[in-house]
Amino acid sequence: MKRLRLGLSPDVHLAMIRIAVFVVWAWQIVTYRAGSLADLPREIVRPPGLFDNAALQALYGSGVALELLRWGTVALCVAAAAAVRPFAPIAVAAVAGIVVTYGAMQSIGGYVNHAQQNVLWIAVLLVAAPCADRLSMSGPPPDSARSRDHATTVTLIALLVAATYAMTGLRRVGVGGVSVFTGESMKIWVTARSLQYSAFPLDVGLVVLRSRAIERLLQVGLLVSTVFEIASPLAVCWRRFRWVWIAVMVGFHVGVLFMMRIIFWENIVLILVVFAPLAIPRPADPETAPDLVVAEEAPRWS
Amino acid sequence: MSGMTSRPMLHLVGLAVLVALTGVAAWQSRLQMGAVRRQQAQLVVVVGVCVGLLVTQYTTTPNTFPFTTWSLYSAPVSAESFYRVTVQIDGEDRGELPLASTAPTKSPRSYLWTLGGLASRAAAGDEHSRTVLEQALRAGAGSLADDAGAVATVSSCRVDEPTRGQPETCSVLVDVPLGGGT
Repeated sequence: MKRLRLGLSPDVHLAMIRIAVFVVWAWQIVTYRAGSLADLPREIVRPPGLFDNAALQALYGSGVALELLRWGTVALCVAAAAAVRPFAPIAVAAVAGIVVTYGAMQSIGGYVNHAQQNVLWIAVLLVAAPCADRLSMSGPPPDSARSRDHATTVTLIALLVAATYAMTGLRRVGVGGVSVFTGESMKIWVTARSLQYSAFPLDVGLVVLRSRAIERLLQVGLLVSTVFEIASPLAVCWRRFRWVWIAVMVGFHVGVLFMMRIIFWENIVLILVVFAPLAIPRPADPETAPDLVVAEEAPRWS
Repeated sequence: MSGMTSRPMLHLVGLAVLVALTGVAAWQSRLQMGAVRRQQAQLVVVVGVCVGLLVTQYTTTPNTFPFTTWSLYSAPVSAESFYRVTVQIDGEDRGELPLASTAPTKSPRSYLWTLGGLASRAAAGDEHSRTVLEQALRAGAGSLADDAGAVATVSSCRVDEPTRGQPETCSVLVDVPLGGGT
């Protein structure tokens, strides 16, 4: 096995993404009080879209079934993170459990936001990948996938994250225009979120009411973060831009935690796990190159 | 907003840029056609999600599961409203109901809209909404509902021309006894 070092090889990088995504979901579901959904009045439990059917309403109405779903899905996520074999059916079952459990989370007024959407769809992408089972607890894979398959999967995952950010920025400019950056929207948003309930009871955001200069600073911050959101796809294909992009986007998320009491920690994990290794140049390592050549000579599906 | 014609155009441009960048990214990764064929399922997922992202921007459905909901932090605002649930036990203020740790939700702010809607209707005299609200608050109050003297107060708040002295204005909608369980 190749040594883990700066400038990860694509197969190790993809394995790290797999571990991060399924551990994120395991944590999301462990900390979700699934069983108590059954205690709520049925008329406020409204599963989203196609999930609003008799079968899932019955599932979401049973505390025992919800707890079984919860812990079964957690076990599958841990197994998928560890790439226990057979990986593909375990990962498919884990994603199915995630989707159904996430449907329960969405049933009393929730909605998919940009943080959750990325980890959801990357889990689907990992299932669809021809090779995402390196660094497995079950030992090395029975045959070697080609290096470019790992690299392509990592690129597509990075593109998906970048697309979500780009769409968000484009929508803000398209819907809000210039006025969203120059008007009082930022002050209203920051004040309201600082006063509204949150699991993170920080009130730093109320500083926006202290002076016009701070309000202007936040408006500039929104403009800068929007520009970097729109430019996110560049971080997929331009290595030198990645570090700047990572710094701005992680800074943006941390800033939003303090100013608006919202933390998209899943996205911070994804940015660091997906993009940071891509930003580190891989040395032309004489040990690595022969490995890749050997791997390409034995394609997994041939 | 510059009208409904500009938004689709803007996002079509965005999609074109993404498609072009996909090509650049593929080239950057030194892909060959053989590798692309092996990635067809993933390409379908990525293209599908990008299309889903675009399409769901134009729906008015509040929940676009499994795609992102776009209604926040885009359109300019001059005021914001929200609901708040506070708890008193034997008349002593215990702060806001900690829904993030007691209720079956990962989106407590969104859940507060559901509770606030019920409280508004209850305040307008809808007894059924009041009953449902009481059940929901007791179920989502955790151990607080075990205390016989616990009362939840649902308030409607608004941030409009905020100042340091008065960042918000709130009005009580309804008080709900939590104590004694269900």
